[in-house]
Amino acid sequence: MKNIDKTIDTIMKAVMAAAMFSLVVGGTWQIFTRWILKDPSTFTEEFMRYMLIWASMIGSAYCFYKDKHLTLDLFKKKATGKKEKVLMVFIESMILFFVIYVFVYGGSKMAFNATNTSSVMQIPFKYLYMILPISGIFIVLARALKYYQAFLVSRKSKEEN
Amino acid sequence: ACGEKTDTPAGDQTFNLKLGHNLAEDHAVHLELSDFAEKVKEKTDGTVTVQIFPNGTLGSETDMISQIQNDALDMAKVSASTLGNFSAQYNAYSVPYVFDDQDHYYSVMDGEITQDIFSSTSGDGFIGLTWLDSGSRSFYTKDRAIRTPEDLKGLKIRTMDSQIAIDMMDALGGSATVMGYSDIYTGLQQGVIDGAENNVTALRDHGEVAKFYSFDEHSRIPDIVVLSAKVWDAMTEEQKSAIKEAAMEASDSYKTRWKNFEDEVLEKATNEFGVELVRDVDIKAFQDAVQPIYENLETESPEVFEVVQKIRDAVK
Amino acid sequence: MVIQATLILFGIFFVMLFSGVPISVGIGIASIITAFFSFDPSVFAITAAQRVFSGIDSFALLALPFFTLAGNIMNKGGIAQRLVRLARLVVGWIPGYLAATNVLANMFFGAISGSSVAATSAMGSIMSPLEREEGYDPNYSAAVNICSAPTGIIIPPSGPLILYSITAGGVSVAALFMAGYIPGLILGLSVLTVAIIMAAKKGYKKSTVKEVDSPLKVVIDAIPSLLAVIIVMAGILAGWFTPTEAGVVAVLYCGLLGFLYKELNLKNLYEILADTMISSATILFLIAASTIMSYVMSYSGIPAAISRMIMGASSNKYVLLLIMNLFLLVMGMFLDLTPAVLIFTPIFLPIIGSIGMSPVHFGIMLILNLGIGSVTPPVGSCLFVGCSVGKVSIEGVTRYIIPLFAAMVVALLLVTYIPALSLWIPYVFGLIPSF
Ligand code: NA
Ligand code: NA
Repeated sequence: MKNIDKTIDTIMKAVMAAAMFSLVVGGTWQIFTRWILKDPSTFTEEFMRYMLIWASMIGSAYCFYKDKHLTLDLFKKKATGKKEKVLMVFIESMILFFVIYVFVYGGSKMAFNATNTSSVMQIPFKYLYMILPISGIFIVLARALKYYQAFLVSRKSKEEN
Repeated sequence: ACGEKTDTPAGDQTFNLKLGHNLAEDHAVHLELSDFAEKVKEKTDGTVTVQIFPNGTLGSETDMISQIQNDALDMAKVSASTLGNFSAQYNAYSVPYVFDDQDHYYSVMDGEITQDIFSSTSGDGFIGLTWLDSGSRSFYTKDRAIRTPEDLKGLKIRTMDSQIAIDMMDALGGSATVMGYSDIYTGLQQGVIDGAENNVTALRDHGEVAKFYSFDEHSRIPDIVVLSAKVWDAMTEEQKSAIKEAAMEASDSYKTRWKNFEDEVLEKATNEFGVELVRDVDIKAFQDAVQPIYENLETESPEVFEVVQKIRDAVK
Repeated sequence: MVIQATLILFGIFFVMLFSGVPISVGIGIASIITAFFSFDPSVFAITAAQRVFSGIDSFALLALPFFTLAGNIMNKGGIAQRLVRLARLVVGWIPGYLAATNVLANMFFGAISGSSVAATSAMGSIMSPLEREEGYDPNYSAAVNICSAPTGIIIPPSGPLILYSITAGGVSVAALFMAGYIPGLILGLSVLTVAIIMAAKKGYKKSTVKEVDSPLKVVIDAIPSLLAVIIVMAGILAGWFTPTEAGVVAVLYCGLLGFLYKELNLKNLYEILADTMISSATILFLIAASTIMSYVMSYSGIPAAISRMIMGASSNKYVLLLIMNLFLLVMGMFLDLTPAVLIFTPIFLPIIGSIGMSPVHFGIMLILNLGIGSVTPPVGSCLFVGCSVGKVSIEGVTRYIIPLFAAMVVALLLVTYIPALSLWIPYVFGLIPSF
């Protein structure tokens, strides 16, 4: 399990760094073409917008895996035993409901019904919207994996006792 | 939306249609659409009502069209330029100088060519119901008037994010700078851009920072009222013809309303903001300069070119 | 109907919040359930998905990751350290000079970076070990760091001011940026004053360490870093680049300095790029979820109803401003800055229009107020990050945050009731016609 965790971290780091780097390159190119070449690039604006959306959604899925989303854990930390379990189940079901309803269900319906293309690069919105169901599924997997790992750890510690 | 239709004792379905647009409640479009809603109610004996959501409450024009495709909305007022991303034929309206003048424009928009385009998208989930005048678009600039294409040389001009608009800027010699409408004011003020292009009503927002409005009238991109194809198909013939009638009346009366709106803005722009209106523009030179666009269209988007040709043929 | 919808929306949100559901998810769930009262669920799923996508489909929003990246590069690239040494030079004679250094360095840092969270993390990680060494209470140090970080989003450049400009429908970013200088200075000085009083009471000493380098060298060393301020702001004012592009320029310039200082290499740059994208992702996810809430609110007529209610309470401009500030301070306790900007801007814009307040002035007041919200428990991004880098608990710092909070509120009131503090500089630069 440690290996899976490490692999995910390595891959995600590479993807996130590449996305951020491409945004900086895009922005630099936009300024450079306007001021040095005097022939402003017209696609960078669109490219950077969609890159930001895609990268944020993938990054969000990773943050669900790493529990990095802003949370008030005042009461969660104090809860113990049965209360803690109930709270955990509640939190997970809310995350799953939100993600499956909006990202997976709504997002895939929107993607499949889209017939338009982006204005400059002419990318079909079908593909652009696909990031919603994709990241939605990643989020669900991320939560499952997180709990599976926690389960393995607790079993291991029980065995050791 | 479509979930809100109910049956009357007479057997006719009643519809409560939601219509979205992204302009303020005091804008001419909103006033006209409110009148349209009244007329629809009257003409259909209350079996069809229209509820208007102004101010872009429901999202951008692109968002609203997708909502119609997904049954989340019934009607929207959108630009033909936005529709071009859904159905290429609509791009024909954005081609520079496809219309010679206002008469040509009106006759095409009220005629058969447009009706054919309106009904051609029913497979995509929506149809065009009617159109609203959006005037002619020209360049407005910060430092110098634009009388010939040469005057655009070296100027950074804000361009709508559409390929035709970008191609036009390239053909005319200006530098196309793509940015959102809300960035134009600061862009002009700070000099990130030297100018933009739009109909005269944009001077309401940018008259303080743009000092010249040059009437080169390079395009006339209409607003289109679109309607869900599903809802349209569910209506009775009586309801359809009543709505069509109200829609045509709206289109007609809007021509005057738009004219008054333009005059009002021009008056304010000249008297309050001191914008200079430049009318001695060499339009012929501009028309010649954009010819390469027509040649490209013929090879690259034959379906748009076909419509363009029909529009050009209607000149006579 | 509207009251019902408002109660349901905020009621569910608070239940979610206190149960420990991630805030973005809580905002989403509250909006969805409220929407079920007026939408067909199968239809609303698509609308919500569309809001998520369109909500972050904005070129201006790119400024957020860029200004955060610039901050992170400053932190690792040796720029933050040079700013700290300069700050220490200026305030070394003051009791509790390390805390004072922290405040001043946060202001310098904020003049280049546009993210208060990046500032909290950068300054916290540099200052807290030094302060621990000199026997400062870590809770005190962390509280000062947390409360001085919001100066960075008032002093330009500023990610939140850009977010406000987008939400308000194109209020000039250049004007907002220039408007932030004096209020940011006032906020910083207020926090500084109270921090010094607290330090004096605790008996913290002034600097006894001899700076190895001469003052002149410290100043010269800091000049290239401070030059970033001029490049970024002059570039925006002169029209060389848009505010979003200014973020790119800040990144490039700070990156170049970092490599020249030999603090930055490909390896840590890689880490910085990845970290920045990941932390930006959580902010953008929060924005995406918040736009579902904004949609549901405006669809149900909630903003209009709340503005009517507040305007009905009084017609006096000063009273209305007080009500708005109190309301925002309370909401700021529970909501993070990002969703709060998206949710409250449309509610208050009609009110400020009716009392003739400048949207530029309002923007500064709003971001300053919500910046205070980012340091107050229980929810606040500066609070969370500041506790984590300072290795202290929220319960521990709260005691020290209270007096600093009072100082921040004094600054807020000054900025609220003296429009000239915000509007004078943009007026001088010709960015606003009058005030
Ligand atoms: Na700043
Ligand atoms: Na707070």
